[in-house]
Amino acid sequence: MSDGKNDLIKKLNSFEADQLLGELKSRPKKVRSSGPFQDVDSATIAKVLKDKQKAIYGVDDRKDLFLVDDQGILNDADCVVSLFQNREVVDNGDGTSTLAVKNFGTEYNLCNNERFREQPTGAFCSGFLVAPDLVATAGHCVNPSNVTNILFVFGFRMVDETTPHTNIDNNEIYRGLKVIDRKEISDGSDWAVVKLERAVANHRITDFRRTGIIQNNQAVHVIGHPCGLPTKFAGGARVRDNTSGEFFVANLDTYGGNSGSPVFNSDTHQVEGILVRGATDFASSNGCDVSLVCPSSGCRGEDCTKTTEFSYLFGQENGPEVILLDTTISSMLPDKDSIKEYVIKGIESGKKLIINLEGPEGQDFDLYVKFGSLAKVDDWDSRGYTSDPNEEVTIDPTEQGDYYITVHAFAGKGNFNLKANTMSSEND
Amino acid sequence: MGDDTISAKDLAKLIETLADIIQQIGSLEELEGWLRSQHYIKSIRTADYLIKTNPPRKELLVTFKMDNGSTVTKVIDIVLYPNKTFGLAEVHEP
Repeated sequence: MSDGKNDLIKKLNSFEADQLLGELKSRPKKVRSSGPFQDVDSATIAKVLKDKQKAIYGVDDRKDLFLVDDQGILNDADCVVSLFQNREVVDNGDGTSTLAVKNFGTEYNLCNNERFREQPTGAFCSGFLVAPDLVATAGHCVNPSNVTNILFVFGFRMVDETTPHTNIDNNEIYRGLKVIDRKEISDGSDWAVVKLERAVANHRITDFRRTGIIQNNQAVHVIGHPCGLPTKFAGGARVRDNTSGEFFVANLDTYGGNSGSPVFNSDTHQVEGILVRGATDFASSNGCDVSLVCPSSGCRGEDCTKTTEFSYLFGQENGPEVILLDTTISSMLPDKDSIKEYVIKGIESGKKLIINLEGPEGQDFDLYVKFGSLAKVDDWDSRGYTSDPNEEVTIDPTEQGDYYITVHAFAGKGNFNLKANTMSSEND
Repeated sequence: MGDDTISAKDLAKLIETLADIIQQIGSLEELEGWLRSQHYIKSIRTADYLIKTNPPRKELLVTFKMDNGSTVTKVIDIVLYPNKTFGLAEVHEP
């Protein structure tokens, strides 16, 4: 390197990272730079900035899953899905589908030394499994009018350094059926819970915080699809700001495509938040783009909607579990006389409420239902009480309110499915 | 009420035409400038964050002066394509 270049780099190193970043971001708009950066090319500024960030903050913690050997993180990743538009998943007619992806480097006009530039990009958001047939994601990723055109895909990952997994077994692909509930507040709560067309049989349902608050400075990590790339883990982050009741801010390394990604507590592996928004990802440098993640104490950080924002859909940790209409709950009773308690909220009069229990074959499980308070074996309004494992209770509600359900193992033990739905009384 | 307001019907029409307007702009500053030049705009604020979809989006919070004396704020989500063009993702309530 020439003395002149050395002097230039030395001069640039005297500036703060945020000053260099600000100059790069402003360059596409300005006719000509002025002041200390006059006649300094963008590539040199970008190089000094990246070295500065790396040296001080160790940025860009993104890692492909095949490089992760921590089983706890791999378990976390099992619940993560990528969101694709329906038109970008092509059924091959042989039980598999191919994801219509593009080359990341070409699509984003990346500079030659950018990470992952040879990988495919295609996912538009991320999400995670919170119940057998429910996915949580960002509210801005889905809405009632587009949900049935969205496919939730497990397994979009790099197999090794050069091989992406884009030919997906159709059993790993799920269409959105409806939005259970959703919120999209600018600079506020941003989340959606989506019901899938069918239950997911072979992926982990993640645990997420339902009450309380994540601690400031708690170590967190995120797993999702930055830039629409195959699944990436990014750790080395902490909660920076918890003043909002609806979201927390962390210095996660995330990019467009990470919206909807689960943000895990790195100690408990419980999901604490959904990644929704944050700082600028890329800056132009001499005709191509470089990725710039923000340092741990600079920039605005990444906002994560707290999972407590939507936990009301799933009940409190020590009370009856809230169940939703048309959603199958799968659970188990471990012993004779063990029980599980549930509640369906806000049932209106005018439609029949039908509750179905499918118990384990050869066992005797019973169903108890009560309006307004916990249903018990000796205190109920309606019950299914045969000597079969399967029971059904039909109720004609006369007032609006909550119905409590108890499943009781009268004899035996095992897995069961519970589902409630309503039907117009005219359909009798 | 006056020339510096917009009716609910015209606001709905404006929103319908926003997609075309946004596709033709060269920069967010150009869009902001065009909106500011409309007499019925009370205020515009560009969010300081990116919505992390792929491709990412920028939010403009725009407050309109309505002809019934009220104000209405809409959030315009603009897609930032990798080739430096723009598109309309959605218009939603704040």
